[in-house]
Formats: sequence, structure tokens, C-alpha cells
Amino acid sequence: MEILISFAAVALLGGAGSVLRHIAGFWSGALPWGILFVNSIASFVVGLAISSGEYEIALVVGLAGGLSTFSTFAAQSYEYLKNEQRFRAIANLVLNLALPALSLLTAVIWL
Amino acid sequence: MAAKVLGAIFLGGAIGSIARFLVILGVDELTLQDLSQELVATSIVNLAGAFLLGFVHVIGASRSDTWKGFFGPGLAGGFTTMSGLALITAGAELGLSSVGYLYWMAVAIQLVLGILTYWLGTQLASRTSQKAAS
Repeated sequence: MEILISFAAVALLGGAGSVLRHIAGFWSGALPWGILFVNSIASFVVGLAISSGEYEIALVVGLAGGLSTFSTFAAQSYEYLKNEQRFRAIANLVLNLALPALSLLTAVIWL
Repeated sequence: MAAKVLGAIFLGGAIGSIARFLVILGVDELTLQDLSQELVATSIVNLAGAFLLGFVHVIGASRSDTWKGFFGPGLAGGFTTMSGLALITAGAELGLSSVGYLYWMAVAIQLVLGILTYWLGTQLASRTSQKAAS
């Protein structure tokens, strides 16, 4: 029974996170700020969840997993490289490597 | 923004998230005790998801917004995760591994490989489209 509730929570929160990510994705400029933002927020949520030890599967796998994305990062970086915008591609990679990790650590230290 | 498209993204995201959860259960991670298991799980979902998105972007270029929403930000977006990668790099910083810098390198490599697998997805889709047309 517990595993079924976990699956339902992951599906609901994963779906909701995906919709929020899609909306945030419209915030774009020199870099895809909306995607960077949701990737960082999702990592912050992961930090809160693992620190508190509550609703870990629902929040980490469901909400944060649905909210954050790797595939969109790959697509956007590819487009930068294809258009010879190498600096943007490198910046996108470095920021997606550093900011989510920093957000997660901030949440862990905060709690 | 059409409610139908958002509904498709929600459905695709829900399915993608469940699929990711199944991979996680298969690798038996989410304990934040074993960074290598986390690395294996994220590699599977992220590289497969990036490939899928590349394929979908080419195959679905002339499809409806609902179709694109379901397979793109929905299924591929929900299947992949960046917060899972943050769990590895932050875990390395929190001292869960004596060779934390190797995990930072592994995640950076995964980011580069993700761009490559996205490109491979577009190439396979282009060839599939050309064969179907001829």
C-alpha cells in the first residue's frame, strides 16, 4: 500500500513540477534563466527534504525531479553550440553544475 | 497557453517521473549514502532522456503543440533530473566520499555527454525521417 501511495505522489508532483518548469522556461534571455532557476529551486527542495527526512520520495523524486530537467539543458546547450555561441554553452554548463549544488548545500546548512 | 497543452505536459511529466522512480528503485539508491549508485541512476535517466528529447524535437517538428508538450517538457523533462546531479555534487562536498572531486568530474562529464546524446537523438530522427520519406 505504501509503495502505491509513493507512486501516486511521484506521479502527481512530477506532473505538477513539469508544468511549472514549462512555464518558468519562458523566462529566457542571454541564458535560459527560467530553467536555471527551477533547477536550483528543485535542488533546494531536495536539500530541505533530505535534511528533514520527511516526504523524501514525494519531494525528491516527485516534485524536485519533475521540476528540474537535464534534457532541456542538453537541448539548449546544443543550440548554443550549433549557433557558435560557445561562451553561452560553457556558461550554461558551468552554472547548471554549480548553482543546483550550491542551492542544495544552502538548504542543508540552513536546516 | 492552452489548457490541453498543459494537461499533456502534466501527463507526460507524471509518466516520466514514474519511469525515473522505477529506475531509481532498480538501482536501489536515494539513500545519499552511496554516491556511485546515484551516479548510475542519473546517468541512465539523463542520457536516455536527452536522446529522447533530441529525437522528439526532429520527429515532432510538424506535430501539434499537445504532442510536443507530452513528449518534450512532459515525458523527457519529467524523466530527467538536474536535482539528482546536485545530490551527487553536494554529497561529495558534504564528505560522503573521500574522492569527491571525482564525482564533480563525473557530473561534468555527464553534462557534456548529455549534449552529445541529444545530438545523437536528432541525427537518428533525421535519418528515420529521410528513410520514411524515400
